[in-house]
Amino acid sequence: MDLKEIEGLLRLFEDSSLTELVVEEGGMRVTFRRDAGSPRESPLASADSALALREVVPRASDRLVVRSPCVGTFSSRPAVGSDAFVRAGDAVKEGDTLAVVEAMKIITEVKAPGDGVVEKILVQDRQPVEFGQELMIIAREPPSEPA
Amino acid sequence: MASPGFQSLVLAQRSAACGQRRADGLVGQDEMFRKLLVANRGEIALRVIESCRELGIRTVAVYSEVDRGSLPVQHADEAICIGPADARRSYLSPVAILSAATVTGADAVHPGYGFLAESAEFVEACEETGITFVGPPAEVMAKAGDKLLARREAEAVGVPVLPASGPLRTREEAERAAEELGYPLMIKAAGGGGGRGIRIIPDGERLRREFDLAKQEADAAFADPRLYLERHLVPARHIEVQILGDAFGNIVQWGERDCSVQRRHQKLVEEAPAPNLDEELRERIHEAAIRFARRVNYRGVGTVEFLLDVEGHFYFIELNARIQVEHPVSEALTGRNLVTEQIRIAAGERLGYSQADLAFSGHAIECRLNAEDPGEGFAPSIGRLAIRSLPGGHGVRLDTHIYHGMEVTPWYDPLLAKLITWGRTRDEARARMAGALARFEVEGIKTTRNLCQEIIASLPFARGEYTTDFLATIGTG
Repeated sequence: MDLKEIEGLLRLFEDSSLTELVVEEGGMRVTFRRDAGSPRESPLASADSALALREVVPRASDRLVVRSPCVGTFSSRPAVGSDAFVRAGDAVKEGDTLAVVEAMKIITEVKAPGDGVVEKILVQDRQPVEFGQELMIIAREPPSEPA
Repeated sequence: MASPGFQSLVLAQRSAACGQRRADGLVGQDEMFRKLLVANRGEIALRVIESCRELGIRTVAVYSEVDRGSLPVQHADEAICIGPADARRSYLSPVAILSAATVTGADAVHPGYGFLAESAEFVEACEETGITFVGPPAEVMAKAGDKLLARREAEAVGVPVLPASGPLRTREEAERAAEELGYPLMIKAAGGGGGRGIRIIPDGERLRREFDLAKQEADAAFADPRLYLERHLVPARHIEVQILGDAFGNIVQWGERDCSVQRRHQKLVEEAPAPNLDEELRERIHEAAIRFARRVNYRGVGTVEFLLDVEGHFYFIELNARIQVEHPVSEALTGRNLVTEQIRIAAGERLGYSQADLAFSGHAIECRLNAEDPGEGFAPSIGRLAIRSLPGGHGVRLDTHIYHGMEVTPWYDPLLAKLITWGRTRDEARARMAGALARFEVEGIKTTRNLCQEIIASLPFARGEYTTDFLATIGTG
């Protein structure tokens, strides 16, 4: 490993999102390390650990807020006694019916704004809701792991 | 967009709903409303909220997303978002309004003016939902809303109307009718009102050009394509009479207002009483308004509008079945609150006084301060409002929803404030208005203030000698 090769490795490291890179070759060991701004002890900040972090505290862009399309009474099920459209933890696809808001005998369906998993339902069944009120949080499906 | 307040307000409403009947001597045999939803925005929403507070009624404000920071939202007991900025999905949506009334447990809806205030369909929907509409019953509203029908009712009791055609289906029919009536004419939409749906037609050429367009417009705006032609009276004065009727057939009038300072049938300055009006003629106009109101079994507050020609002949134009923008000038003369009276009547109370009990004192003038640029053809002016000074003092009233830093949006009516002055004499009211206008200082947008100042200072206004074509003669600088 000559200086030129080390220079090349350095450039590669700089362009990468890695916090540490260790290269061993022929009894020679080169370590590149940078301050990741976090106290993580992981020797290698891979896409995996970034993903793990995301699952614990999803960023705002990874969540979809479902808002009420109108003023009325929130209902999580199509009729009294029937099963709820969705529960927390259910996977949903864009356009799926998540709940209904009923007003003046007019039933308005609440549709999923995108694919994901229902993380939280923010309102109680039969609760009055106003236009634009937050009803549910959907966690986006995690993106497929980068190669 | 957090709405924790809404959840708590619903809980509060539930506990209030288990409350008790009012038992004070103020209300008559009927129960006063417990909670009233204000189906409007701006200054009139505040006005209704204040009147409800006087009567001990809780209030619900409804608002569109752009009105979240508005004063009615802050000052009502509860507030609920009913839709986006587009009025068709918020303030004009009967479903949104009545849903809000249902989920908040309101037992009455006050429509203010504009929006759903004169929709017979909305009144019917309220009646079906079991929520009291603060205004006339649906069948009276339907009569008032159909201009052709209203004309027939006027004729039936000998109230004069301007020469007009029947409903016209085609341009050819209109041309034949125009030959008989003679120009100048107005095309009017049977479903229009409040100055909307009117076109002035000076000759046959204009009639040919505009008839089909007017028909499409009427269909789109009022869901009623019926048009008719009516004689266009110029010069003329616009004189209207404030009426009130209760459910027991008692009807009184609160005198007339002169609203001849208009631009394209939109009023800018109003006053009461009408200046230079012969006493005997004034009485005949009042009497005609009462006769018409009785004929249609009017209930609630309303306004019968007339045009008065230079020879002293007056003609019925329309009945406005709602509270009007310019109602404060009549309040200034009677010393009574027209909105609380309107709510009392809707709750089934008796008027409680007769015409002879009403005393009128002094003179009042109102100026409308709109977010419009008179120098640019009254284009809407939008932007962030900086308030430097607002008028006040003895005999000065300012009805407004503006606040420092408010964003004036292009979405709704441009009315920012109504400035009303009262004086023992007309000259005193006029001088007070000149002073009050000078103290209305806002920056950030253009307003009609300077134009109002010009009008108040003008010779025709000073003399009380002006007609509906007067405003067109004033510079718009």
